[in-house]
Amino acid sequence: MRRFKLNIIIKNAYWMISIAAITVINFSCKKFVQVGPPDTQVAAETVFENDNTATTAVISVYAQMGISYLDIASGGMTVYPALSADELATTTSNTELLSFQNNAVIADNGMGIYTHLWKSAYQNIYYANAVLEGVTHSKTITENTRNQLTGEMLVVRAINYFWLSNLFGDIPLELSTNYRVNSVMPRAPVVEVYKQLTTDLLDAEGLLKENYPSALKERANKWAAAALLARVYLYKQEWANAEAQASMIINSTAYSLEPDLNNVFSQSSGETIWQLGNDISNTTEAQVFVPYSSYDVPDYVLTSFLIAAFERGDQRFNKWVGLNTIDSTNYYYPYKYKDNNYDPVTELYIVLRLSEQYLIRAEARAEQDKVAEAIEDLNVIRSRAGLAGTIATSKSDVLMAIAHERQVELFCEWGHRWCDLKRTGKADEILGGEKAPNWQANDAVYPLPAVELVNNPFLIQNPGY
Amino acid sequence: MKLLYLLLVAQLILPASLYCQLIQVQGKVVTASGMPVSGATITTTGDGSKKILETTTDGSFRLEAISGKTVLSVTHVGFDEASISVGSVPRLTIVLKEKAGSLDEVVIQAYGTTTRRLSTGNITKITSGEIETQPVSNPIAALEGRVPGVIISQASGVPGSSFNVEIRGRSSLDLQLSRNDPLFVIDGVFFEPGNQPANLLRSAANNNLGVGGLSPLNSINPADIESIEVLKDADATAIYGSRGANGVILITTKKGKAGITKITANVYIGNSKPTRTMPLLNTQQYVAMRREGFKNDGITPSSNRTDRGYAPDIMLWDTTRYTDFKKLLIGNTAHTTDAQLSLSGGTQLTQFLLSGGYHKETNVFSRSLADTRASVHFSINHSSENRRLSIALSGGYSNDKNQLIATDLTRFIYLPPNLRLHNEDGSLSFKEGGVSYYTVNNLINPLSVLLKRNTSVIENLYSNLLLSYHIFNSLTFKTSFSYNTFKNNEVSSIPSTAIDPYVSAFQTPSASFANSFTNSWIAEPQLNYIKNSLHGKLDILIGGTLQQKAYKGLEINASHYSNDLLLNNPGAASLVTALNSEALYHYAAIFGRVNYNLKDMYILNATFRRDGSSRFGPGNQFANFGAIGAGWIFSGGSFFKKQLPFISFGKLRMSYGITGNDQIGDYAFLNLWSADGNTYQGVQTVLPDKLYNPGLEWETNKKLEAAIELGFFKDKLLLSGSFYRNRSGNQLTYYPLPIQTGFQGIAANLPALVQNSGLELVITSKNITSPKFTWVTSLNLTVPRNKLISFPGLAATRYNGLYIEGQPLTVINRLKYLGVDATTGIYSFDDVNKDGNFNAADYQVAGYAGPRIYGGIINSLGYHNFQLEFLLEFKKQTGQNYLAQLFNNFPGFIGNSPDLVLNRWQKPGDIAAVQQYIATFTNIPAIIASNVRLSNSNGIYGDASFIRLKNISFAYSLRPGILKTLKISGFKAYIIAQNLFTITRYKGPDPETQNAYVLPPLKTIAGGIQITF
Repeated sequence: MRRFKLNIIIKNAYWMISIAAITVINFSCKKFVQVGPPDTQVAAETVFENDNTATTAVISVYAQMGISYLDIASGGMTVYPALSADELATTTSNTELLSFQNNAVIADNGMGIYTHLWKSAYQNIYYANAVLEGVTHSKTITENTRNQLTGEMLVVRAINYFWLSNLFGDIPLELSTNYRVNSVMPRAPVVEVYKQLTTDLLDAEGLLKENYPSALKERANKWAAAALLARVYLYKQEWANAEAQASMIINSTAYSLEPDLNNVFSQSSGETIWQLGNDISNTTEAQVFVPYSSYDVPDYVLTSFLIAAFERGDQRFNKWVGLNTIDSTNYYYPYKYKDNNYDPVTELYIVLRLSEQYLIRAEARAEQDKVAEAIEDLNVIRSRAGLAGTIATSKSDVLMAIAHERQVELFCEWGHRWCDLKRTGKADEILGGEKAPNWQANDAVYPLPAVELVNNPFLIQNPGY
Repeated sequence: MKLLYLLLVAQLILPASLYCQLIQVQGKVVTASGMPVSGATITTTGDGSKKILETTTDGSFRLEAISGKTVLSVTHVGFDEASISVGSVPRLTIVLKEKAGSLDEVVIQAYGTTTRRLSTGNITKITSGEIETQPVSNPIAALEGRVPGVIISQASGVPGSSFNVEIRGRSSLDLQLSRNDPLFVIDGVFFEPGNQPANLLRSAANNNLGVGGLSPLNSINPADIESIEVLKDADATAIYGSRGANGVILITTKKGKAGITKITANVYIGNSKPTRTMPLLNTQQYVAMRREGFKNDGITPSSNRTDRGYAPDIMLWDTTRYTDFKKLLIGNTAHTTDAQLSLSGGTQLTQFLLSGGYHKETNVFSRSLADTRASVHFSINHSSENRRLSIALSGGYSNDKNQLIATDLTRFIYLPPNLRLHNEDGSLSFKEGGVSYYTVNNLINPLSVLLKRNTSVIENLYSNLLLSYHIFNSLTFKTSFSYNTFKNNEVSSIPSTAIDPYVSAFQTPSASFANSFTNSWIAEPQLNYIKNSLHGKLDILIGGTLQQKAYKGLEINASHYSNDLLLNNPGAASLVTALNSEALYHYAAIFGRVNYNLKDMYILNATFRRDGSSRFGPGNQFANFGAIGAGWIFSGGSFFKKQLPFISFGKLRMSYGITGNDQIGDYAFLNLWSADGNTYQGVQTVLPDKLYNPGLEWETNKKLEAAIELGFFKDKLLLSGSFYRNRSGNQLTYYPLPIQTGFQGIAANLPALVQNSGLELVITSKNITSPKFTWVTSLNLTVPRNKLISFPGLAATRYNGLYIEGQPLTVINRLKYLGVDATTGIYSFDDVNKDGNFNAADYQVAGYAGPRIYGGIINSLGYHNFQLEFLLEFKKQTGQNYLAQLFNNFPGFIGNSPDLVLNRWQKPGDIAAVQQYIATFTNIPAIIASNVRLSNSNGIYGDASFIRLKNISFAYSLRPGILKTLKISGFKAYIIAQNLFTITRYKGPDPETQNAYVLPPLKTIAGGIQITF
């Protein structure tokens, strides 16, 4: 009997010990199922813990912009608008490129419209916003660094918005990383976008210093902000402001025009205000424009309209345009960037350069009826190209001469021609003639990517698509 | 007191001392799974006297004063007879083996076993017999067409590639991230690599936009598998908690059996070819198509590159040349060699099994490429003499070397059929008539792709130790400890010979190297209490799980090699970038099960699990899951026995419970920045790699099942019908966002409810069971229904239009296709609102894609020593047809088309299936637009139903008499075949893959022999 009782006690003891063991396991589980971030990644707070790591984040944003083939800041902004305007034609039968060339871009266009332009720009903007939020909330970085990094990211965000609004018209204007807000954000009118750009760039100008935070002008300084701001004012037709910004840069003596046109797009060019790139490859432009041998038909050739635009004796035609003659057919191709090897890196994407500032100021001055001063600026650029001074004298002629000068100075460069035709209201007149019967007024803005309209029901497609 | 206690414990733990002469024997009769067998008959022989007695309700018996020479024979209905000599052991456990094929056959369930008769859940068992008649390398392939409620389809015919496995329908709104993969458990251990692609590098196995990949399950040798159990309802799966929502597949490996040492050798060889592809145009037809396209465009084909009508393929290239690319690239015969050797045996206390396997499968792209797997498997079981302590150790290792190419060649069968492959000197041609292929829509010489090799070596090492100790007869402590490492070592290389000289300036020889490593351990202590009483049997299980899984992946991309000699050495490359990733996953749980069986008539089963996972943020890590199942075996009552004697078995069962799904990947809730392998000014860059959502929660799946199981005429006809209804809510998905947010999506819980319901029917009929001739027919049939029950706010999300409340997730809500307009020759569509635009406002529901009914019929016939078995798999379904492919490949453009496009519109009045050809983008925008519309219409869907002879086997076994003279214990010669023929009206490639760019499943015929010594 006693033994029987003991048996029960022991039986129960086994049960209790086992249950206790399992309960202990359960309580220790709470800690067990919390794991830290993986060693291969860093938590966001850690990134903005000190000046050094926060700067790394900023550098990463620049790197991201210039790393991918034909993304908006790595060739895409040059190639696609040049095809849509009257600068470039493709010799390939690539249907996508042809759709740009024929002004028949469709909203379903996968690579160009979606991946290379829209997506890459909004990714750049997200990264810039993430850094802006990170440095704002960080309690441990120094004030100097905070200002510097904030200024840089405002410039990065601004240029991406500038490109987007010039390609697509009204665009969602996102100033934070909050996806709940961003995913349903409708398009903001261009005017509002430009208002934001002006504010941001003015802020950046105040926050940034004149000297570059690193070598090779690969990060934005005060003048980069000013140069972009000058352009924004020009597009807004705030002539006096445009002139003032451009003058600040020209007068700063930080930059000078390269006397040799062959050096303008080199890494060490004296007129570069801001250049982008990466440690891995040369520019996409050189890789897609410059053929690999003199026997190859280039994939992209200059249109007859652009070739005809060069005046006789224009050194830019000799030094910035390449020529392959195959079976007695001449193929002219853009040759501003010259190194088409993948690496080693000898050239970077030059985003902003001094000669544009002269042309901005010339136009702004002419519009303010300062015709003589305008001619002076214009001739600086012409003389560097080996041309005599302009023969234009009247305001309207000078403005036309400036527009023409922009066409040949800034050809196949960041979509300048495309944007100029649109902002000056000449797109229909010029492209309507040159690109008949394909051109329609609606073609001046690209369609929003179809998939984007699906994902954000608050977006409305551009007319005609 | 204390002393007494110690003594008692000592007596419990130490083996009982030896007794001699006449002894008293206590014992227990159990099933292989440890269930007591009550009412078994025990007969003693061997000591001159003969006693007969029966076991009690808990399976125990007691024999007084018998000698050690006594032999006990144990018999019971449904079991094979067992005999054991008493020896000097006072405590005996006699294991009875269930007779195969009956209701009492052992069925593996979560943390234990049950039988078809007593189970309250829905479990389908596939035996080794069914697996070994199939010449497949992936065990999952062996389940195709055999399990009701389960859709298994091959993603590609490339050896080693993965299978889609869907148990009871699709429950996730977005398959991009939240996967519907079942949980795979091997010998009770979670198989962590699961059904996710095992490769980091792209290869022919997953060329198509991340579809497919290498299957981790291919590292498991089907010949080592004893059975595969598929667990479907809440009763069977809820004990797996957050991981059981998508069903569970239990794989049980072979174990040794007591008896003489047996050696079994099995070898087969076979040949394979792709099943079904579309006939393509020959050169003559192709050129005519191109010219017709240009004619329709009003453009003259030209050899000038800058002309709109530039058409080098018909103007500059030889248009008399014809290569049948289908035959050349994917039409080769693949060879399979499979050899297995196993050694098994043991005593009553210790059993062992050792086996080795070799499987080699060349592929249809080239004979020099092969998937070769070598594997070893072992299992050792040991019990202490008093049968209290038992140890089971099993494990194995496999090495699967899969030589592939970088790209599935199927996508190149649509190259212009006159593309020149070789120059006159025999070297690979990359241009003709001065035109580089690359400049013509990036055409590629497909033979150069054969030089881009991809090799993956998957190693899988698994081991599992199970210790169990009978504390009392009714109480058992068990613990398992398991370890698994799964490695994949991949190398992809592009030698200079594979590079089109046109692009060689920027495409240098390159190689990629990837190593991935998954390492997991799991410990599961359990207590099991079984109490038999007059009223019934109570079985209580309580246990805990601790698990860790660590993943590490490293990818190295090396390029700018100066030559091809050192391609396999990244050190020789002048540019090397590396990318690594890692993930740590911790999982902990307690679980339990209470099963009460009243007189084998009423069974109640309750399961519970509380588990926690590191995949979720603080506050969301733990959740509770559970289920209740009940069964009523009504045939046990006297009414049926007397009034309806032809009903030999009848059971009603029901279950309801909650399971979870956590397949969202690791760290989704953390805001992480990571290095992307890029440098800028020498600085390693760091960027946010995703949007994060700290509030992620479990997805829940509430499962309801009701079933009836019937046996007629002494179980000659078995019928089982189940109704299920699973409701999946709190949808855990990677919710796509507009890219304007910076990313394409975010992991989030959506307030949507998806229902999968359906009927499953299984009929097994022993049509003829004479000694010489047997014929068994087995049918399984599933009628699935899928429905989006509710989705609050659907209209405001990107899913608007894609999903519709009240419709299946695969609803076809698109433009209504009206055929090719006989007047204009262009695809026409129903413009519902007559606004001239064809957009979402014109979408109409036109049925849904996917199966309506599917299943299989298995017939097994035996005549003397001949055995014939064949499985017809059938699926009534709607799928994408060849028109879906024409969107990527406009007929008339550069690139070949299936000969179905010959049925095109040519002149007004033509009734055709394909619109007029076009050769350029420029002139007829309406045609291009209509092509885009076609891809957004229901026109690309059609009947993809099929009946496929999935498997057939024919075997001849030698008669025992001959075997004796040959001194072997078994000999079998057989022919087995897979996917032998397909009956379908499907207009397209293969109705199973429905993808024109992916290698269709292969048909295989093999022959082999099996000898047992």
